[in-house]
Formats: sequence, structure tokens, C-alpha cells
Amino acid sequence: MKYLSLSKIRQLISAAVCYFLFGLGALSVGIFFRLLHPVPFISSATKRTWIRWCIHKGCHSFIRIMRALGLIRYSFDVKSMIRAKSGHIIIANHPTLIDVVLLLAVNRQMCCFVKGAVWDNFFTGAVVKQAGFIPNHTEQLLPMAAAKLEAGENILIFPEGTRTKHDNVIHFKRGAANMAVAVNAPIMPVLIKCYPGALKKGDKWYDIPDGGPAFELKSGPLLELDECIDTSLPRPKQYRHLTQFLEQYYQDWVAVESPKK
Amino acid sequence: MNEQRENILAQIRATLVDLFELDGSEIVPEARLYEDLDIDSIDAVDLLVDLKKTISVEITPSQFKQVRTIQDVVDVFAELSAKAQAKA
Repeated sequence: MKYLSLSKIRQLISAAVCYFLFGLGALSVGIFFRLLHPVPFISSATKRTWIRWCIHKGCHSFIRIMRALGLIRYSFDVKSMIRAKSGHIIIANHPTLIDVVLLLAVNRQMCCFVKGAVWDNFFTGAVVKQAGFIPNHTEQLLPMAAAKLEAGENILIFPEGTRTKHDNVIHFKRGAANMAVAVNAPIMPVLIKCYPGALKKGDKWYDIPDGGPAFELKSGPLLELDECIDTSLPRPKQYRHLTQFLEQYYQDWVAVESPKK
Repeated sequence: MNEQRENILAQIRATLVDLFELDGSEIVPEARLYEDLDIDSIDAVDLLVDLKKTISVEITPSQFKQVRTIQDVVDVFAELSAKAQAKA
């Protein structure tokens, strides 16, 4: 039997502590905003701004703690995203479990989609509802997203729908394109690189490469819809063409960014 | 399948080929919209709007929700246009 080295044990404990802290942070934010939920004299827009700020700060602190403990490394090159006019859709590839944490850490006010289970939960539900997020199990998903984009919010979506599989082939579903075409919203592409691969679908949370995986977030130029596709076509065609365009965009991007062999 | 249903199927096939860039040979009665033809709920709305232009019947999205296969689409439209003709 192979014994774990001291550094591996240290890393394991750090990872456990991090997951514990994340849970604790989420719970305390949950309880605080659960209590705030029925308070009548604070407008829902104010609550939304507060809560998104809390989530942003929480995620930012969390990745800094993880970096301090040597669990991850990261670098951001996202100026184009921070400066982009509001009302855009942020899309990103989805290599790891913590992609959304990194994206929330660099975006102060960003709208996300959440799972039905999170939406319906007593504590997390209060947070995500007041944060003005969108549940993914509603039929009103597209109208809700459209209204938010038109009101100038930025919405994050992972067009792959789930984490990238181990073969690293990027395959997009049409949801992001449906949304973009519905409101003619510009798209902000973000590339997430994680080397060496970790926290993929099916990976164990404690299976971390030595020194921690290095994350790199890069944002591209804001893509207007008519730069990507012919917007005079019938909508079903636009959905499909845009999905193909974006998929190709990412495949090319990944190829350019990959280290040369 | 009677002539009217054949006509409806031809219409659906034409729409699907044109709008969704599918291959005409894929559009057979037993083909499932979602699993086989990759037509989701958003597409279904667009398909419905387009079919209503060529086959003049009143159909609501909720009536269309039960639809699973191409055969179901044909059935719904055949039934509705039969009703519409009975009224007229």
C-alpha cells in the first residue's frame, strides 16, 4: 500500500477546510437573507444589489483562500468583459466544478441560472430568488431571461449545459443561442483554462494535482449577433447557425490557446 | 394514411427541411421530435407558427405539448382541420 505523503495530506485537509468554509459561507448568507426576505421597507432592487455583492465578495474571498492554501492558482484577463456594455450574455466553456465561482468572483452584478433544487430549498431559495437569478425548471425561463437582458443585466450561461467531458470536446446546446436571438443580445465569450485538468465531471473533489491546477480566465471581444450570423433568416435557423458559430469559435480558440506540442 | 394526412405530412416535411435544416428522409411518421430530430420546445413554437400559416387551423401551444412524434403532429392537424371543416 502506498502511503500518502505529508504534502498530500496537507492538501487534503486544506480542500476539506475549503469545502467546509464554502458551505458555512453559503449557509450564513442564506440565513441572513432568509431573515431579510420578509423585511418590507427595503426594495427588492436594493436587496438584489446587496445579495449579488455578497455573492461576488464571497466567491472572491473563497478563491483567495484556496490560492493561499495552495489548492488552486489563477490569473484573469477579463478587461473586455468588465468594460463591455451591459445587457450581454456571458458564455463560457465549463471544464471544472468551480468555473461559476471564478466568474462570480470577477463580475460584481451577474445573473445566473440555478437548479430547481436550489431554487426550491428553504435557505438557498431565499438567496437566489432575492438575487434575481433564474430557475432552470420554469417554462418562463426564456421570457424571464429576455426581460433581464433588456433591463441591462448580464446573464451567465454555460452553453455546454454541463461540465466538459473527459475527451475535452466542446459541444454546445442551443439554449444560449435561443436567448441571444430572442432579444438580439450581444455575447461575451470567456475561455476558462484549467491545467492540469481537475474537478471535471466525475473527478473526486479531493483529487487535486500537486501545487493546484492553474486556472486562466480570458474574455474575448463582445460579439454582436449580426457579426456572427445572418439575422434575417427564420429564427430556428438563427438558433442553429449561432450555436454552430459559437461552437466553432470555442474550438478555434482552444486550439490557439493550447500549449504547442 | 388518407390523402389529407399525406398532404399534412408533406407540408410538415417541407417546413422542417426548410426551417430546421433537416434531411427530408429523416421525417417519417415514427420519428420523435426531440430525440430523433433535435426539435426542442422553443423550436416547437416556431414550427407551430409556421404550420399555422400553411394549414389554417386554430391550435394552441398547450395542445401541441402532447405531441411526441411526427405522427402526433399529423394527427393533431388532421383532427383540427376536420373539425374546422365540419363547422364551416
